[in-house]
Amino acid sequence: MQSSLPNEKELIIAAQSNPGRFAPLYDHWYNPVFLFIFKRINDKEITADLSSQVFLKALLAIKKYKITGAPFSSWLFRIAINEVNMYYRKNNKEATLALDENDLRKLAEDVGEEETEENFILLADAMNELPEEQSKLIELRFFDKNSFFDMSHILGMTEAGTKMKLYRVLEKLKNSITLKRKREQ
Amino acid sequence: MSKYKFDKNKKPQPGDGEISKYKDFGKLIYNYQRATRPLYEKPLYKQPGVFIFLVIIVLLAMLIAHLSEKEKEQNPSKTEQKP
Repeated sequence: MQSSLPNEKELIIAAQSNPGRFAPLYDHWYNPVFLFIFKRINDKEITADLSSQVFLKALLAIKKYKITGAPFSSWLFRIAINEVNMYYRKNNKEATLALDENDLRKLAEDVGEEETEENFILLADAMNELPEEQSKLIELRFFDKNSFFDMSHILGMTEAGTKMKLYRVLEKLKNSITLKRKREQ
Repeated sequence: MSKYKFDKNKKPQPGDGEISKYKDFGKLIYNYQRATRPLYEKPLYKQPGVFIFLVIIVLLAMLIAHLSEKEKEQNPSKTEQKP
């Protein structure tokens, strides 16, 4: 995940008084937001439209943005999550996330599974059984490569709470895979 | 709820150069100005909601005028008796 701009606070204050000065923030965060949405939409044109919406909404609301020490990106990603959810709701489609080895390698390792194709398939299946709140934790941590600090601000939780919840979800995934294996035998 | 699928041939992510093609700060500012422009500065034909509302008001006014005209024609005595 891209790191914050060193003078982000000053840039936010400048953009709050003059929308034209939002440009450095837009330039810095456009690509990460685009990729964040693309992972969930898998279509460049739709992703470009949704990215525009995210930045328009951010610019419209920046005057109300409070500098609290939370990363600015977590605010943008929260808007992006809402836009993606709205897109799927409006179009009556089901969100599908295609995952490859790069996405699942670290997750497999943390769940204590070998990095084999069979295990990747089992992991994806087990994730389908998780409630949305729990699968979101996995997405943000393993597919978007967020830190716990960033995740806690995106999800509106404490950092310790985020760690604890993720640990529980990993345990749940582990048990679910063991069960699936037993059923298959 | 998201559905997850393992796909070893997953589409590659677009590169920085490709993403930059969609980046357009000028368009963002244009959209921002359009969204924040006061209602009275926008042409009526660009505001379908307001336009339809005004059309309904005009149609209602015409209907009321027509009905009262009709009533007058049917009962001319009522209005003539007054003086």
